[in-house]
Amino acid sequence: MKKDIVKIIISLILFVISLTISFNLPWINICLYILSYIIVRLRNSNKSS
Amino acid sequence: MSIATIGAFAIGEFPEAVAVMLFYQIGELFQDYAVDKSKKSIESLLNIKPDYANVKKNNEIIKVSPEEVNVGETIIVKPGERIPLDGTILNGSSMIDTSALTGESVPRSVKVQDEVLSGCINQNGLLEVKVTKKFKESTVSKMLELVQNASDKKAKTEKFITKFAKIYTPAVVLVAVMLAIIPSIILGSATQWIYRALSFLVVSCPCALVISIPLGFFGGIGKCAKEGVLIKGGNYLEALSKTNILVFDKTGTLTKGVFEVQNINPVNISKEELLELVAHAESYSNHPIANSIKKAYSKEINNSIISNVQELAGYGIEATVNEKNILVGNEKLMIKNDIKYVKSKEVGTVLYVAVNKEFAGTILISDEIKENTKTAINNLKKQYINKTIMLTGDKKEIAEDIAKKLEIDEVYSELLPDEKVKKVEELLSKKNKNKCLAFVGDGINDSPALAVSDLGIAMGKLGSDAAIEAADIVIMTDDLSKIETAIKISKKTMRIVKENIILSIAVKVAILILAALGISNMWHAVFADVGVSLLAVLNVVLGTFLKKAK
Repeated sequence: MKKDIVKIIISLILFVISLTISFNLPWINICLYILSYIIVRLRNSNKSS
Repeated sequence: MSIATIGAFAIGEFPEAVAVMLFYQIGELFQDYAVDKSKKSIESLLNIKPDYANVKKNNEIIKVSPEEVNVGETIIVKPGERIPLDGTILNGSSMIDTSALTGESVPRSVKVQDEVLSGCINQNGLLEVKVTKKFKESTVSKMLELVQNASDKKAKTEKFITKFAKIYTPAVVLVAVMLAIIPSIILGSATQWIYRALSFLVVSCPCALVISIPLGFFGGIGKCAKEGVLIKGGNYLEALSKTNILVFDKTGTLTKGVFEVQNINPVNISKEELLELVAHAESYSNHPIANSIKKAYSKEINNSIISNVQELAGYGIEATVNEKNILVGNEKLMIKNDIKYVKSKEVGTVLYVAVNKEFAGTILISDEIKENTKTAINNLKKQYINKTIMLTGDKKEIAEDIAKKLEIDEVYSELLPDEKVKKVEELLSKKNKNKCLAFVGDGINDSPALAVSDLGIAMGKLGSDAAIEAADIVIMTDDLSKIETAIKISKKTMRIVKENIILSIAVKVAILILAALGISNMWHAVFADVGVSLLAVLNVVLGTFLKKAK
């Protein structure tokens, strides 16, 4: 549970950064979104619904 | 959910794709927390399983597994240890904590000859206990079995939601695919229709219903278990919330099931002397009436003053006590001996006593009503129950007397076990179909009635194994007020379940309509799914785990 919370927090930070800061190179934003997505998908108790 | 997010990535909607998955995972985290908490409250009951038993063999104490101990063996329970098996105390006295079994927080004092139940904790004294039941048949094993099987029996609402999700999920995916393809071909602008289809997919996810409803029932069963009421499945919790007719057995359920001296009416003799003479005359008898007289006398019997004891079958006892002729028995005994007596108008078993062929008074013996029965029945009638009925095999006048004292609405007496079942069936056929009838009983003779009624409630402490087996709900403390607590919890559980169903469906339908009209976007869909799931889980957590349902 603790690891999941940490992963969600990291993912959330990346998401907020990408959402609020427009980098000169747009692919940086895209990479941050993808990274955020991958981290949150790595949760242990992942269930598909 | 995965289809929706990958689709969003494909059409370049990156923030929405990440947001859906991120908030969905936050929702999942809350759900995991709630499920864990609910499981723990039920698992805490399972911790009552004792690990070992100290068996006394040839003055040696051997530590063995409780399963290996046989009936008749002697075990030692040290202070602080859990009592591993049901038994009778041979030596020692102590205070025992019965809270794990009964929910009762006040420790109970036990002494030699008292029965102790497995799962309780011995608090101070050293106890030597003679085992009366094998571990498999012991109270703790029965409780564990009941709790473990409880979540297998699903309530109607729960079953419907599970079935609904099985059909609903593939249907929604199919509709979303059609929503993305068909309008794109006819009207063009594929990206816009894929976006709408993805929003539709997210909003249609049934997570809120699938997770919060079983969780609600799970929490309700756990809460009841904490209060000392074992509910054998979610379906019975649902039935309990609909109960409006309570049918009671008398002996052991409303009354203590033990005969006690209720009144002594002496004539030309003191109360103490009358009781002393009768106790001595009855001292050789093991009849329950004789035992109740001896219990009321409570002093030591002087055997040297008793002689010529004769049991007169169908009449009573004749004996010489302290050189006085004593006759104790029914009215027929007085008539047979030509003794002028005053007929008693009291309800119960009346013993007529004559000393030296002179009428010396009467002693009334009857079963005693349990302490809090009247309050419990009154509270139930005030809040949840429309009608209370008593069924008993006892005499009409005794039954009517008890019913009058307890303000029970209807009473049927002198019933055999099969007649009780017929009466319950008759009551079932007359009742409102949307409401439930619960039968509350304890004895082997009540088992058929417990099984046939909508809901069987058994008294776990005094109750027979057959009754506990046949019942759907077991009250571990034999306290009728626990029925009120259980109904309260069941109603609260059903309210939470209904709130969650209405909330989820209403929000989802609203957002679906807006999505179809192109007004709502993926962010609204995320709220309709993950947000509503979160609210539903929080509703269960706040309603079941945090507030005390008392």
